[in-house]
Amino acid sequence: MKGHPNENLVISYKIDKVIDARGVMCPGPILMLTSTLTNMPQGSIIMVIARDPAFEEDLKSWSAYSGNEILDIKRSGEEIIAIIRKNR
Amino acid sequence: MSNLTSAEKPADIAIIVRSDRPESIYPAFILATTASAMGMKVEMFFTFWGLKAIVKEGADEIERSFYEELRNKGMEPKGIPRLQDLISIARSSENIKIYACSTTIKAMGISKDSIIEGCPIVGAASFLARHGRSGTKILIF
Repeated sequence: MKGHPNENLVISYKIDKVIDARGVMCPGPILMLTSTLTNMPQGSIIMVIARDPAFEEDLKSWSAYSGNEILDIKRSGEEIIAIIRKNR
Repeated sequence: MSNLTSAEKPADIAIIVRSDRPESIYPAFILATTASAMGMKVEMFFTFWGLKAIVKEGADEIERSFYEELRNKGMEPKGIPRLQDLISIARSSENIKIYACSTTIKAMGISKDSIIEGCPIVGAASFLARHGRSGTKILIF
C-alpha cells in the first residue's frame, strides 16, 4: 500500500467484526460496541468506525474502566477508526 | 422491599429522575447506559413527572414533543440516540435497575400496570437504605 493516499490506515489485525457507528453520536458508538462485545468470545477483535468527535477520548475512558483493550486508533478526516480487543 | 436487599453490592451511581423534560430524561438514560457499558452499577429512581419515561407510551410522547420543540427552533435531532433504544438497553442491562416511586404513582393516578415491566415500585426508605451509607454518587435530573 506504499504511496496510497491512506497509507497510514493500513490495519494489520484480523478483525472479527466491524461496527459502523458513523451515523450516531455519544453514547451511540460506545453502546453499539458494548452490546456487540457481549455476544463475542474473549479475545475477539472489533473495529469501530465513528464520526462522533468525542469518541476517541470516550473510548479511552471506557477502555480504562471496562478492562477492554484499545489496540489501535487512527483518524482519517472526520472518521475515527479504532481496533479493540475484548479482554473481559 | 425484597428487590433492595442490603446484601447486594451497592450501586456506583444512583440517578433520580423527577422531570419529564427531554433535557432531564435523555441525559439520565445516556449516563445510565454509558455507565453500564463501562461496567458500573446504576440504579434509577423515577418520581413525580419523571415517571412518564417509564409509563408505557410515555417515552414516545417525550421524544415526539422533543423533536417538535427542536424543529420549531429550526434544529434537527441528528445523531441523538432514540429514547426508546436507550430505555431498552437500560432495561436489558444487568448493571441497571429501574425503580418507580410508590407515592407519586398513587398521587398521579398511574396504575401499576401502566409502568413498563421490570420496574419495581419502591418507597423513599428503600432507596435511602441502599445509598445512605454507601459511597454511591447520586445524580438528580
